[in-house]
Amino acid sequence: MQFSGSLSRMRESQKAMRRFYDAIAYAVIAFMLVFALFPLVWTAMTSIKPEKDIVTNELQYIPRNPTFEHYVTLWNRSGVTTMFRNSAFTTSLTVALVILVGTFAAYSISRYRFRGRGAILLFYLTIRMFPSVLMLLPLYIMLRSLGLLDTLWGLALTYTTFSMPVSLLMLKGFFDAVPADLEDAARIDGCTRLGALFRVVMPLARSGIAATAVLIAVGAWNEFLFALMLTNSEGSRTWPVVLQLMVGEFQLPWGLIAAGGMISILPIIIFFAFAQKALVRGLMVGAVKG
Amino acid sequence: MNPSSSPSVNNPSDAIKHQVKRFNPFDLLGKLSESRYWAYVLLAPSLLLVLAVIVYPVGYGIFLSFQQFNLMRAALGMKFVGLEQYIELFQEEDFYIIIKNTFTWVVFGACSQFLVGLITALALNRKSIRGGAVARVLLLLPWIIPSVVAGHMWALLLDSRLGVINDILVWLGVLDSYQAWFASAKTAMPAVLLVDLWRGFPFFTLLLYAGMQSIPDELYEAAEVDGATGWQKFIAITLPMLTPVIVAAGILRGIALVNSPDLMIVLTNGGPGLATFTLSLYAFQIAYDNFNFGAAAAVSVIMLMILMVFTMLYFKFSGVTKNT
Amino acid sequence: MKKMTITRRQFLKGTAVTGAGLAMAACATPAPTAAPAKKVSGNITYWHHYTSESEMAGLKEGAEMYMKKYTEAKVESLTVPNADFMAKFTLAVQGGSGKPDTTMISADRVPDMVGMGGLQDLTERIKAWPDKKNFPDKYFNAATINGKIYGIPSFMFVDWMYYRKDWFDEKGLKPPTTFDEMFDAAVKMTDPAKGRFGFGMRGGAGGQGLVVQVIRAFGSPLVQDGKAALDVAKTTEALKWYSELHTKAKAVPPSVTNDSFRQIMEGFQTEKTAMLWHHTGSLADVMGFLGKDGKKFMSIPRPKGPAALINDISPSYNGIVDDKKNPEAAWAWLTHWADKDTGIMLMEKTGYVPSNQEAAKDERITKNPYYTAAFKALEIGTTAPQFAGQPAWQSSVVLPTFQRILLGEVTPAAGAATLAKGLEDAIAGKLK
Repeated sequence: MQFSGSLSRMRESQKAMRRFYDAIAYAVIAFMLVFALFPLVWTAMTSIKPEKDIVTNELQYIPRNPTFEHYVTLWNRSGVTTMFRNSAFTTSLTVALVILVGTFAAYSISRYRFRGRGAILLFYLTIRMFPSVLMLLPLYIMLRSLGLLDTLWGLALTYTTFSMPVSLLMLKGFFDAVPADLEDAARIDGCTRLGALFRVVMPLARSGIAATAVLIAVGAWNEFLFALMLTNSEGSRTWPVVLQLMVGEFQLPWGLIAAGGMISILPIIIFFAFAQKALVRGLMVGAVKG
Repeated sequence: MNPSSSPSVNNPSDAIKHQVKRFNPFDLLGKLSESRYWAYVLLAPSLLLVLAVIVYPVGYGIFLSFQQFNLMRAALGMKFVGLEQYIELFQEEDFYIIIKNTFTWVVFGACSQFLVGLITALALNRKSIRGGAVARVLLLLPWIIPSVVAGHMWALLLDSRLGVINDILVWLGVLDSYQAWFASAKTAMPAVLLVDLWRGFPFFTLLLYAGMQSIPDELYEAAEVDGATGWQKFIAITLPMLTPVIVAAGILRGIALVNSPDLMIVLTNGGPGLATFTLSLYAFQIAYDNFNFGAAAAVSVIMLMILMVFTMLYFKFSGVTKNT
Repeated sequence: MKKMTITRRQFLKGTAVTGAGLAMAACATPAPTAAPAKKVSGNITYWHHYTSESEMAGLKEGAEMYMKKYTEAKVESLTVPNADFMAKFTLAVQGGSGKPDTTMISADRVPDMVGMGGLQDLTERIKAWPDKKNFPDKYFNAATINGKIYGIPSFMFVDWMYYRKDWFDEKGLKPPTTFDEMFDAAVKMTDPAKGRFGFGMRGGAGGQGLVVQVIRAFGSPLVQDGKAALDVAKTTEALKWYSELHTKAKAVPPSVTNDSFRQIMEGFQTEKTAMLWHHTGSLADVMGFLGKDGKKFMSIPRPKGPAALINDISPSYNGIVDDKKNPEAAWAWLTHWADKDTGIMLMEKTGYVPSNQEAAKDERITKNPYYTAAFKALEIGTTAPQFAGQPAWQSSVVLPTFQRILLGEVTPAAGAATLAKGLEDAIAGKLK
């Protein structure tokens, strides 16, 4: 029959098209992997070359004299482990605070219709719009009067505030995606609004919350300016400060910086390996219905 | 956790007795959550935090922008000069170059990162693709590495003496000799934009991919029955469904580009000449090289105004704050 | 009369400090022995911008020496990255807490740090300091504001020029002693086919100081009687000569506008450049890659400009920021770093030249040809004029303007005018 013939031809052509698109997709992914990873591979290579093989006229693609000296030097620097620990603490605390406080705010914006919601979103964003340069001095004075200067709690509190716009925008999207009916059902069963938030909404959006947590964690883990400016002793400094301190006035130790870079992405990769499942699912549900 | 489903809630009079007998904050919270103030109660902690941190600096900044005040000249004190510092800024030729650079940096940066992020997300989103899970993590790495390291490593990659990219381009015959990408007024901005593209595209890929995953398959299947091509499906389904994510991601990235000069500081520090000099670098320089806090405040207020206007327009057009 | 009262007040203050010191010493040590007049005890903090392994090793050993010498004092040091130093220092001073007791002071920052009230006047202490005789007066120039001294020098950065001795010998050229000879040599040394350039010009970050030195070598003053006094004609000449090394002679690497310390060093290290302007701070590095036998490279004073020989020496000072807590321990820390033995120790670790003249006589220094060259430069050393706003003017006006001249966007004459205008603004504290 002519009709089914054309249908099968259409199917054929659709199949061909699909294969064609798949080929393009593979090409795109391959290209992007090269683009994304080449600098990192080069960083890894650099981290195991002796300094003399980096600053040289003869470019070495494969390190001829591989060495782990940079990693050893880095790890032996005084205070490195403390600073790594400080970073881990500050990051965890920040994520916990942001998720707790941000969840409430995002839920409110997502579920309630009150005047000035747009204005509030905009207001939260101002914290990102005003140059941090001019925030430094007032922040410093504020933390001092709270007794939080030079403490990890002070840093975490600062990061929490500065992460608020990101978490608010993202979490709002995730909560929007949770159907209101489910919540209503829970409330008929005797839950309060608060109960419904903890027992229905948050579990359903948990993967979205995980995704937000990753965004916040990466930001807090890598923050440098506040970490340097709002602490005054070795004991409360964080990892990005260590990295920055390797760049000296009269030196730029490529190998050390590269090694530092490799070390600093490790924890995040591990975190991702665990969070990956939740992350993908979360982003699936969330972000989304604005 | 929250014992709000205790009998007290089911029976209001019980609840009152309960509370009189033994004060339980969770019960109180549970009750509060039913009241009409709950929306504000939820908002309060973060709002207070943001208020505490933002109001004083911004207010003080606006106040300072009308004063002549140099931190190093305590003796000169503060002098009210009205709009003088704003007027002087707009009278300077260089200021327009700086604004233009900022515009180029943000618009090209955000757009290129969005486009590349989108294309990557589309490729990852194809169901028939294998190894997508691993690729997704690997493609996120550029966004995870600290910017100090990213900046210096790219400086090394593109270096005019030690740079492997120059070496490859010469080997491919694209270049005759090593180029100093950051030293020429023509190539410095594109080079920095390339580095930021590398750093920023994963952010979009992450969010857009997530958005695509949430679009119901039925929509595509229905379109396929109607004989829609891939492009038509993209225009009619994917793009509209993605709009909210695009808006949120776009605004966050845009603001980040305006306000974080960290890559630029490592790679060019605004040079050569003024070729990559942007507003955020300018504000930092005026404040902490020149200590002219009055003028730095004026620049900051101008930045804030520009960003506010753009964000408001953006919100308006995208409808993200509309009541749905 | 007036002078009299001041002296008396200071005398009273002095006794008060001694009293407090005694009281504290009595508290700290349960068995009070015959304590010396000024007891060195307590914890002090120290900010510095040392970063490299060798610098850190020197600092560590120096701190250990100090704590061995003063057993009741303890020092805790904090690295502050040089680029962020002023921002951080400003926050601590203006933010009302977190000030260090003592700090390292880069010479060009003294006026700004004094301007914000961040440094203590050390004049009286220095007058009474027995070691003072080992330091030429000019070493204190950059730390003196309105007749008051705010820091004591620990080591010196001595400007000089490195050149490739082997290449110069090959071509039968003598190392340049004037700007004209240098220009000539730069042209002759340039060989694009070999990827070789005559001069590793620093046109990127940090190059601003060198531009100003060239301007001074052409005879233009910067300030007179506290007012901007840039001679536009001479500045134009200076900018023209310096920029033409690139724009006309093509004797510097094309990457010049982005070449900061790292790049010019790597250019020299990968044997791409024949001459280089820097100071003694990089000697250890250069010896590391070109050998210390005096065959491949040598160092000589900078060549003489048309009007003057500018070969700056700039001390790295230490100063007291907070004298409330343990002023005696802080002062002891300062003098400890100006001590001959500490200086030699640091030099052996880092190659930095000690400021104490006694150290210069030590044979560990006299044996090394490069150190001898450094001390020769030290003798003829000039000092840069200091005024509040100078670092700002250099980094936010001189550098970008000079880069634009190198790029051909601005003429030297227009550039000189921009510099003059910027200098006025900088001195008035109105620079944007």
